[in-house]
Amino acid sequence: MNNCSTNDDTAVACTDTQTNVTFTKPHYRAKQDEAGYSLRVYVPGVGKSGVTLKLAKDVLTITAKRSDTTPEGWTPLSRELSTDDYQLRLHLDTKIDSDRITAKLEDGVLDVALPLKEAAQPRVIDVA
Amino acid sequence: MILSGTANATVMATMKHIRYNHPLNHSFNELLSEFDPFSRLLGHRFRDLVSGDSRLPADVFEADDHYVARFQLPGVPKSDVSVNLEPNGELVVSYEREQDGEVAKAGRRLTLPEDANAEEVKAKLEDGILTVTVGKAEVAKPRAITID
Repeated sequence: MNNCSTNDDTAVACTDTQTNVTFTKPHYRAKQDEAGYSLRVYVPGVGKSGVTLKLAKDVLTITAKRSDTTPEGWTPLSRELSTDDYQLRLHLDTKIDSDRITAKLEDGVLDVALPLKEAAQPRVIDVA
Repeated sequence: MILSGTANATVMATMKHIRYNHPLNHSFNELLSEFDPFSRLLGHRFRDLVSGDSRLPADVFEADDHYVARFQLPGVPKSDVSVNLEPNGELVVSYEREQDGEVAKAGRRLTLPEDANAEEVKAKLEDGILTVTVGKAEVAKPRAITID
């Protein structure tokens, strides 16, 4: 579980371990409903402690570090899978309520909820 | 007409050639023969979640006393995965997952090396990675014969 909160302009207190590492952009899907957006990011090989979410201005950066390292003494006979860590950068709608962003990681799938600010949600106006 | 027929046959043969001599397979062909029965059976309707192909990508390693095959299956529950070791020594891994009205389905067939021990196979699914471990059969050790 990663839950990062931000003020409007400052980056979150989640660590960003980015140095000169090469990242793979993970496959993801985005859906929109009245409450906001939801992301499903496929990050096989990433454990719970490997995910960081960082929001700086309107850019959400999701970094996921793999924990499925190859033990010493294993000789690769055939490699088809990437061993890179994952990184996904998305420009967010300014109407996202950054204080209420939540994320959940399970079985290599990261689900991120990006709720809209209250004022941005549709309101039903009663007719007098 | 004959000419155009020949041309078509050449194109078909070339496509087939490319398909079965994928660079990823090439270096491994001598040890593990592999093919993709799933896409042919299922046509192009089904795709893997991550690779977008119906052929499930795999890593294969050799350790001192076992072989390891790894597959990426994010969000796929154990109950949707099938791991089979066939009598001819082929390891067949496949999954089928229905989610949000879409079906993700892929599989892979790997021929194990000769010294793989079919009696000693273990499979583990963790963080969306399926790890299949196959033991090595004990190699017949040289035996010293005492001369009477």
